[in-house]
Amino acid sequence: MFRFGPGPRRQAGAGRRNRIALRALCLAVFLAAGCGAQKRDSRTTIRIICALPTDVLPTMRALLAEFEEQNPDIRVKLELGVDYTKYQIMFVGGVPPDVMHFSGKRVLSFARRDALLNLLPFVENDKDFKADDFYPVAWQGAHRTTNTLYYIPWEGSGTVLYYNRTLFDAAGVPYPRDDWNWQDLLSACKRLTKDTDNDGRIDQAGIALTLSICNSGIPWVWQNGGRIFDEQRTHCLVNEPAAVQALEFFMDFHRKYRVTVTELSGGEGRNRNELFLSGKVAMFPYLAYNISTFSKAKGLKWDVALFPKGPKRRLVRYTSSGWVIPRQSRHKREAWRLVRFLTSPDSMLRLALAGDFVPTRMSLAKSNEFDRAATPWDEKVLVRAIDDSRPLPGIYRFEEFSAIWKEELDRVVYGRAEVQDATRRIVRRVDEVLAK
Amino acid sequence: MISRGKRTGPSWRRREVVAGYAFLLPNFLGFLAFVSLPVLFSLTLSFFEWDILTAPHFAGLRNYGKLLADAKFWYYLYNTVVLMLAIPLQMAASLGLAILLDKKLRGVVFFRTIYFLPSITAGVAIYLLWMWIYNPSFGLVNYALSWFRIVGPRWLEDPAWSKPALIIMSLWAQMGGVNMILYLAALQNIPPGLYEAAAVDGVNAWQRFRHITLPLLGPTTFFILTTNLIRGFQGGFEMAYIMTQGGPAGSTTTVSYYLFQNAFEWGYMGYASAIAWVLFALVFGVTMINWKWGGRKIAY
Repeated sequence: MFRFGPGPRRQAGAGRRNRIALRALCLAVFLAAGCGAQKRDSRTTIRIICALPTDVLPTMRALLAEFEEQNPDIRVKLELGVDYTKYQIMFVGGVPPDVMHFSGKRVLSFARRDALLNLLPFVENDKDFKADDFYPVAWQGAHRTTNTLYYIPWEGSGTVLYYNRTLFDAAGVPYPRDDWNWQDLLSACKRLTKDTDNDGRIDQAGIALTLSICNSGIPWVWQNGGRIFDEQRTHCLVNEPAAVQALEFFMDFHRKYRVTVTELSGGEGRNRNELFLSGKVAMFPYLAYNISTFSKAKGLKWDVALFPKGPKRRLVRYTSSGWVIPRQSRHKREAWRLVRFLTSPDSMLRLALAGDFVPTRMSLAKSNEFDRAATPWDEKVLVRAIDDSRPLPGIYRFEEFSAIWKEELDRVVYGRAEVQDATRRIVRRVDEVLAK
Repeated sequence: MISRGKRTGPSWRRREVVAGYAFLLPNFLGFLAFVSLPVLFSLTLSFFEWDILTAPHFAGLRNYGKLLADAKFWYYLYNTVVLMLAIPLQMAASLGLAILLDKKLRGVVFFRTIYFLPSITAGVAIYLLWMWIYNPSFGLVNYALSWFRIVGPRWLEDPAWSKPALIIMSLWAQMGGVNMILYLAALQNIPPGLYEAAAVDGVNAWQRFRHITLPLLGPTTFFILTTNLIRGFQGGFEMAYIMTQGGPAGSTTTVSYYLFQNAFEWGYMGYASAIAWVLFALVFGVTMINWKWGGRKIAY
């Protein structure tokens, strides 16, 4: 048995009194804390989860504070980090946040599994929402149908061509123009690809192209008049001649002309950005998401241009991110009020400017506030790119399709298959997935 | 309070048994609370089709049948086994390092720390570093090879080189790790008298190593081999997730990464559970064989 110290009975008695006093003090503190807790916050707490760059977070926090001021009955708890594995676990556990940040291409997979709330009744009953102000392509990306809408996009962009002006100047290559086509792109890539020490290794690549379906594959097929799926999304059509021809040309950047850095499979974006920042790559196609990173790079002279036209047309992919409300949310109306607030013209513009995003409301994207003259990149290009853009085809199992696409095209780049074989295999495997 | 009674007899033995179980109890309770239910759940799920968000549907043995016919699964199992070739290399390297560090040299603690560092460094940092080292155009390895007029391979970007590249990387990351520490501890437990007797008999260094050190390290080697084989079958996920996403052309997809893709990326939780149980059966079988075969070889 523990004792505070050996000693006469008097000392033991004092120890006992001390212990009683200590317990009384603890009880008092406990009760005081309990009394404090009685002043309960009567507001409804809603949770929002999002992934935003660190630069944008202060703006987001400020907006949420303003929302709370305007809606005194609501308290908003912000959670950070978008991870779709985590999202699924949250849904299974019955604790998804009331408002969730989603990428457009992920919406269908959750909506088909009945996890998301149909927001169309909210939009239709809200005259001030002005759904017509949004880019039609943004609604296409949200998989809007006549009866359903699961997602309100707040930013979105079409693929543009990032280019390093210093490398272009050094090689004496004129900057990309609006009328560039695939051949112009290829010839610029050839002139910008350099093996400066003749050791057989590329020291400077003309372009960085990934093999992922999102960043490279599909738009090339579209630009050559090819199709990815039939109208009903029951068959993959990438073995049709127009698609095969487009992919042959795209693959030749890797295997025939060797003017590209084939991105590491897992390096999706990371290497490409590093290589571009360090002047090892002259161009790469991507969405507007890199603007924010490059705008902070000191000494880098760069700009964006429209992605070159294909033989049939100019058509690039459009990707957006936005807000969804889970069906499990216990505060759907409050959640909608927050979504509505965040997609209002004022909030959207502030978030877009803070993170160099392109807003999904046409009135904002084309406004003078968004077209800032002081930026070193051409913001008009970002907006014009949307005019010739289309979202990725909405299929339920897009991630699986994407993995199959990448695996088969990898085999072409490494000389283990011809494009024709690869596309045949893609069609067979993807049709199996679509049939599930 | 520690008893100073006799350390023999049935009552002492009983106390030892109770103490042994008491030490096992926390782990056992932890297993019951946090592992056993998910394990049973995954076994049940392997007989269902479940996309996580909607109600599961009973599928009987369909998931297992599909798995046996899934050519990709067998290819990814092959990838897993090839990547496990790193295990004997790691063990040999760990033993070599342990022998070097066992010498009473100045600064040996410093070197011990240096060699141990990669194994306690966050995996992500190591993988990102090696992605750059292996970059075919601008990476350190190919740059070094170019000094000798050798055009290096495309490493992680070439299906023929991606697995060797990962084996080399894991050799670097693991050779100074726990295996080395275990070997070092085992080396320090070998009675010096044996070496002195051998020296009197005039044996050379190789004979000393072959006939004294190696046999006496038997239990440690057996332990390391068994645990590494188990880990090897379950391995490759982090490398695939961070470095290669299973590519190029699926050449670095391992069973565990395929399991993850099925469960969390594609929503085939039932099929992923079936993969997990087949993997368990494989690991269990190999461990049993290893136990039966390896157990006999141990010198003491």
